[in-house]
Amino acid sequence: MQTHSLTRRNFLAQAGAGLGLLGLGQLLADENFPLGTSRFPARAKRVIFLFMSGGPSHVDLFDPKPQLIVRHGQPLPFAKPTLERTRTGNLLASPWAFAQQGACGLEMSELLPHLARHADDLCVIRSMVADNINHNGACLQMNTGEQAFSRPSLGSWLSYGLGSENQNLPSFVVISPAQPAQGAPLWGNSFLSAAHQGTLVADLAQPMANLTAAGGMAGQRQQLDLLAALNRQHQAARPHDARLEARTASFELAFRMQTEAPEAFAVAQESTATKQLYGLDDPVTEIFGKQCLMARRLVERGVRMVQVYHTATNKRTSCQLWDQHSNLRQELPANCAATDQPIAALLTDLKARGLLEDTLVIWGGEFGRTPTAQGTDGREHHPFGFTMWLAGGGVKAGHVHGSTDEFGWHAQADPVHVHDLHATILHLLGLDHTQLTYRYGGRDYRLTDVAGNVVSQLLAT
Amino acid sequence: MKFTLLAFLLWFLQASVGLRAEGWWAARPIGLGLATEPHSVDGYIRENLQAHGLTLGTAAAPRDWLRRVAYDLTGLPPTPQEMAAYLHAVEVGGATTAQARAIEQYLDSPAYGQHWGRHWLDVVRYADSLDARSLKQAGDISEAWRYRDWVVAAWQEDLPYPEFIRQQIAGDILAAQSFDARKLVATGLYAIGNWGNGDSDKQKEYADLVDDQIDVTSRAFLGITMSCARCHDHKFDPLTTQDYYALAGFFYSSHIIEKFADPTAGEAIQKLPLLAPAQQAERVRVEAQMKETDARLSRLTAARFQPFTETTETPGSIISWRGKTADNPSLTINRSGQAAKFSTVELPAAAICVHPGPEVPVSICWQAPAGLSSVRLELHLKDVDATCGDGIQWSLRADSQVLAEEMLDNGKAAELVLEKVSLPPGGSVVCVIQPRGEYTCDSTQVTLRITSGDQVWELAPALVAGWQQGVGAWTIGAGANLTSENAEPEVAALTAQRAALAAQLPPLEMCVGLQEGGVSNSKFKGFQDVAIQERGRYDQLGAVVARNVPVVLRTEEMAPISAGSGRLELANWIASAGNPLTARVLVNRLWQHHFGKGLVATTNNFGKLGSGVSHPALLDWLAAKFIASGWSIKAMHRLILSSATYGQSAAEHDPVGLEKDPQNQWLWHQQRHRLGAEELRDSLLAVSGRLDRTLGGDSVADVLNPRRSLYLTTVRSERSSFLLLFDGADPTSIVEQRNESTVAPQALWLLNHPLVLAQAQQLAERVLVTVQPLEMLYQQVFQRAPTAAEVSAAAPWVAAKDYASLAQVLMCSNEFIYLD
Repeated sequence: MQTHSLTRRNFLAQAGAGLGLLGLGQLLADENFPLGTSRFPARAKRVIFLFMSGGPSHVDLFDPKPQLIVRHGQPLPFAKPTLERTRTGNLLASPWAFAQQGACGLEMSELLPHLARHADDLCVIRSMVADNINHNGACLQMNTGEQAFSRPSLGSWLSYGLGSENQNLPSFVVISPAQPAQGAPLWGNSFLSAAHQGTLVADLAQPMANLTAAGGMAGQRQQLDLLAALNRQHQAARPHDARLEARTASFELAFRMQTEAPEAFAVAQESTATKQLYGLDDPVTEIFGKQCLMARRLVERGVRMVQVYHTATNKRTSCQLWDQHSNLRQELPANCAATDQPIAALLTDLKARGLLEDTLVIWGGEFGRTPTAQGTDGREHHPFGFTMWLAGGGVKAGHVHGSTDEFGWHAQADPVHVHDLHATILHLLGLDHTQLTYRYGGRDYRLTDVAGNVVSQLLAT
Repeated sequence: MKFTLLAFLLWFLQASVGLRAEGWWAARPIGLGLATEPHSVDGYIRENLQAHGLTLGTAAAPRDWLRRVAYDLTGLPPTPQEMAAYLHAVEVGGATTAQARAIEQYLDSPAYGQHWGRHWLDVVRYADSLDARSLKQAGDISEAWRYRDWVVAAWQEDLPYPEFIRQQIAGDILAAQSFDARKLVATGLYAIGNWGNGDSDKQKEYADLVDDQIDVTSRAFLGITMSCARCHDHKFDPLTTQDYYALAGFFYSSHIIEKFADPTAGEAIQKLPLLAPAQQAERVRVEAQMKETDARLSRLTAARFQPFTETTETPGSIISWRGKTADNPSLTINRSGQAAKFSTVELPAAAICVHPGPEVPVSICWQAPAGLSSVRLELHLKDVDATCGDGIQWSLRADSQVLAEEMLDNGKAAELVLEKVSLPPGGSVVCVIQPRGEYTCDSTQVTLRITSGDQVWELAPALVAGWQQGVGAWTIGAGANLTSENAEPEVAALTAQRAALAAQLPPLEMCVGLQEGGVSNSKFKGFQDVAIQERGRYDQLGAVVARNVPVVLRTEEMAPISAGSGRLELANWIASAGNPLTARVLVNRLWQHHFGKGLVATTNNFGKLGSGVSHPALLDWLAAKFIASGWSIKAMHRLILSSATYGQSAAEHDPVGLEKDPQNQWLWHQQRHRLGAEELRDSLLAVSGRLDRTLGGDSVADVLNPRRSLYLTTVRSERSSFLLLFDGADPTSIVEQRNESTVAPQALWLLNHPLVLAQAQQLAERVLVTVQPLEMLYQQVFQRAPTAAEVSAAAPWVAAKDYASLAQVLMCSNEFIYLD
C-alpha cells in the first residue's frame, strides 16, 4: 500500500487497513463517510443470520399446502423444471399439522411450538427464489450473491460499509461447529481487506485463537512497553509513514482484547434463567442454544454481523444438517427440536434487552425442498420457491410476504430473489446496494452484482 | 462514487473512446527498436521527476540496500555473514561491483525460485486442495504441488518467458510432440481453477469452467479482463462477446475432467500419468498381464472349495456362516420364526440366503446317499436385496455335468425343475452362486428340494432345523468345488509371476492438467468453434465464432487452426514478440515487486478501467529490452536492481514530494516494503536458524513445520490459516496485488502463537552461548549492532538473561516487518 503522509481520512479511504478492528465506526463519527456510499436512515444496526445448512423444508415448516394432502401420492400436475438433481416422485403431504399462531394468525408447523409464540414478530417471505440447485453454489449465492466465483460475503460488505462498533472485537463473526458446504468462501472477504473477513468460531469452548498471553500479562506488558519504545525510535526517522503508528496501536489493541474478547464469548457468565431460556440445560438444545446466546452477547457488544450455522446437534455433525433426502420424518423434527427453543429464546432475549428493534434477525437456508417425494420419506433440493423469515430491525412484524403456487413449487406472488433479499438487508442497515461498491482490478463490484431491488413491502412503516 | 452529471459525462466519453482500438495505448505495438537506444531506467525516471519538480533520493545505506535486495529476490533476510561480506566488499571495491555480485548471488539462490514462483502463484489462484471435506480424495487437486514446483523451477532456471507461456497453455500438446513430463505438469494452471465445481446444471458449470480458463489466461498473460465480455461487449475496452466466444472455443475443445459427474455429485479433476507414450504402452501391457495372472489365480483359488467354519448368531436367531479368512462369501439362516430385515436384505422366515465374495462363489453341495442313481431337482432362486447390486450368475451341476447355467438380474427370481437327473454312484448335486460385477449387495435366497421316491431332502428346512457343517447331506462353503486336481504348483508359479509383474509397476506419478478435446459426455466432445451465448445464457445461442484472438489485438495474425483445440496456436500468439501486451504485462509485474507498485498499478488490467500507465516510455523500453534479452527475466532483474532508482533511500526526504506526490507515483524515494505473510514467517524461522529450505514436494499442513511458507497447504474452504491472517493470496481469486491490513489478530499471533514463541526461544538459545548475546541478537534479527539507547532499553532482560522475551519483541517490531 502506497500511503505515506496521510490524513486520517486518506488513511481510511486508501489503506483499508484493519478498519474493522481499529474502530472504523468510532473514527467515522467525526469524519464524512469515506466509502462513497449514499445512505438511508438505518433501521437496523446489526444482523444475526441463523443459517439452517442443507435447505430446510418450507412445505413442512412455514408454507402449508392443503393440496399436498388432497393430492398426496399423485404426480405434480405440471412439468417440473428441466433442472433436476434426481427425479422426484409424486406429491408428498407434510406429515405435520399446521395451525394459526399469534394475533396475525400466521400458519406454522407443529414442529415449531416455541417460535409459534413469536409469530407476531416474524416477517415471513414465502416466495424466495434462488438459482442454484446444489449446496455449494446455493450457499455461495445466499452469502455472496455469486454462485461460482469469489466475491465478498454479506457480512464482509457490512463490515466494509459500516465498520465495527466495538474496536476490541471482530466486526463479523461466524459461529459454526462444523464446516458448512463450501466453507470459508461463505464468509470470505475476497478482494476486500482481510479486516472484513468473518472470524470463524468453530470450537465453542475456545472461540478465538492466540488470546492467552503465554508468559502472563505482566511480562507481556513489559514487552509491549519495550516494543513501543523501539517502534518510537524507528518511527522518529520515518515520520511520514502512517502505517507504522497504526501497527504499534494494533499491539495495544491486541493486549486489551486478551481480557475483553474472552468475556464477549463467555456464555457461562449468563444467569441460570437465561441459560435455561436458551435450553443450555438440555443436551438436545445445548449446542445451538450456546451458539444463539453467544450471538446475542456479541451483537450486544457491537459486532456488526453474527452468522450462526446449524451444523451440529448432540447426535450428529454435518455440513448439511437440514438436507433430508430421506429420513424426513425423523430428522426434521430432530432439527426443529434442536433449534426451536434457542431461536425463540434469542428473540425473547433481544426483545427484553431492547435490542430487537435495531437487530435484524434472518432465518433460512440455501434453498427449500421439493413438495414431491424423494423415495418414500425425503425431499430433494428446491430453489424455485421457498421460505425465509426476518424479524426485528425495521421489518414488518406479523406479516407474510409472497406465496408459492398451490403445491409449494414455484414462487408465485411477489417473488423475492436472493439479490432482492440482499438489497433489502443492506437497505435496512442504511446502505444503498447500488452505491456500496468496491473497485477491484479496474471494476466496481457490489453485493447484488447488476441486479436486486429493495422489497419495500417487507419494511415496517 | 458520487455519480454527478459531470462524472457521468466523463464516463460516457471514456466509454465511447474505449470502443475504438486506437484509443487504447496497450494495444499499440511495442517499438522493438527501442531496445538498442541508449536509455536507462534512471534516465526515464529522472525525466519524469524533473518534469514534476522532483529529484531522485540519495542512495540507500549499504545495509538497507542489501536487506532490500535479499528480500526482493529471495523473500529472506541476509545472514549476518552475508551482510558483513557485502559491507566489506563495498568498502574495498566500491558499491557497483559489490552490488552486481550480491544480485548474482541471490539470483542463483534456490530461494529465488521459491520467492518469485509464489508471486506467479498469486496470479493463477493457486491452491493445494479444493475443499477440506475432500482433502486428498480422488477428485481433489492433490497433485497441484507438481505445478507449484514446475513454476518454482521455471523461475529458477530463467525459462525464456515464451516457453513459460507455451508450456502452461499447451504443454500437453508439446508433450505429445516430444514427451517431457514437465510440460504436462505445466498445464496444471488450468486444473487448479475455481469455477463452482459441483453444480447440477452441467451446461452452466461448463460455461463457468471455461470462463475461469479465459479469465486466468487473459489476465495473467495479457492483462485484460476478457471475462467482462461474457454476457455483453466489454463496457470500456474494445473487447466484444465475439472475442470472448472466439477464445471460448479453445477451452471448450479441451478438458480437465474426463466426464461430468451425476447431477448430485461434484466433478473429479482428471489425473494424468507422468509417462511417455512408450512407457505408458508398456505399463498398459504389464497391467494387462497382471490382470490375466490375477484372474487365473482367482480361478484356481476359487476352485478350492472351503466349507464355512465360523458362525455368528445375532439376537433373533439369524445365523451367519462364513470362512475363516474370506470376508465376503457367506451363508445366512433365518431361524427367528419371522421375516428378517437386516442391511439391505429382506429374508422370509425359515429361509436361507447366500452371498458371494468379489471373486469367490458360494457352493451348496448335496452328497447323494449310496445306492441312489437318479433324483428329481427343484430349485428356486430369488434376489433378496433387490435395491442394489448387479445380480448374480448361478449354475447347477450333477458332479461334472452342467445341468443349468444362467444369469440372475438384480431383483429377479428364477425357477428350475428337473424331473430326472442321473447321478453316478456317490455323486453330488452342487449349486454355485457366483458374483457378477457389483457384488456387495447381492444376497440370493436359495430353495433346493431334492426327491427320490418318497425320500425328500430340503435345503432350507434342514439348515433351519439346526444343521451343522459336516453333519448330514449338506455342505456349504466358498469356492466352486469344480476341480479335483491339485493346483498348488500352479498357484505358486502364478504367485511368483505376479510378484515379478508388480515389481515392474512402481507407484504411478500423476499430475492434474489440461487435455485435448471437450469433456467427453458433453456436446463439446472433440474440437469445435462455439456459438455466442447471448447475455451469458447457454440456452440462448447466437452465431458460431471461429476460434481466434481478440480482434483489437491482432497486430500479428494468429496461425490458423488446422487440427486439435488450437491452444498451441493461441499460446504461440500470446508468446510472440509482436503481441502488444505480453512483454509489457510481465515487465510490469517485475517492476511491481521491486517498487511495491507497477508502472501500471492494476497489473492484471491494462484496459481503460485499469490505472493507466505512469511511465509509458519506460514501460515500452523495458518491454523491448526484455524481448531483446531473449525474454530473460533474470536479465530484467539485473537491469532494474542495478539502477539508482531502485537503490535510492526509502526516506521521504523531499517536502515538495510530500506535498505534490504523496503517493510517490514519480518514485522520488523507494517504497518501504511491508513483509508479506510468507516473508514474515520465513524470516522468523530464518533468524532462529530453524528454516528448512528444502525444495519441492507435497504441501505441509502444520504451520509449525519449519519448511518455507510456500509449502504450507492452502485449502480453498479454510480461512483460519496463518497465510490469510497476514493477507496471503486468496486462493479462490486471481490476485494482482495483496492487501495490506493491520489488525489486532496479527499482533495476537505474534505475541502468543507457539511458532513465534518457539523461534524466540530458539534464537535466545543461539545467542546465549555467544560472547555478546545482545550484539548477536541484533545481528541475527536486523544485521546491525544495537544502538546505545537500545542497549540500555534491553538492560533488564539482559540482566535476567531473558533473551527469548527480548527476541520476541524484536520479531514484533516495525523494523522487522517494514523494510526500508
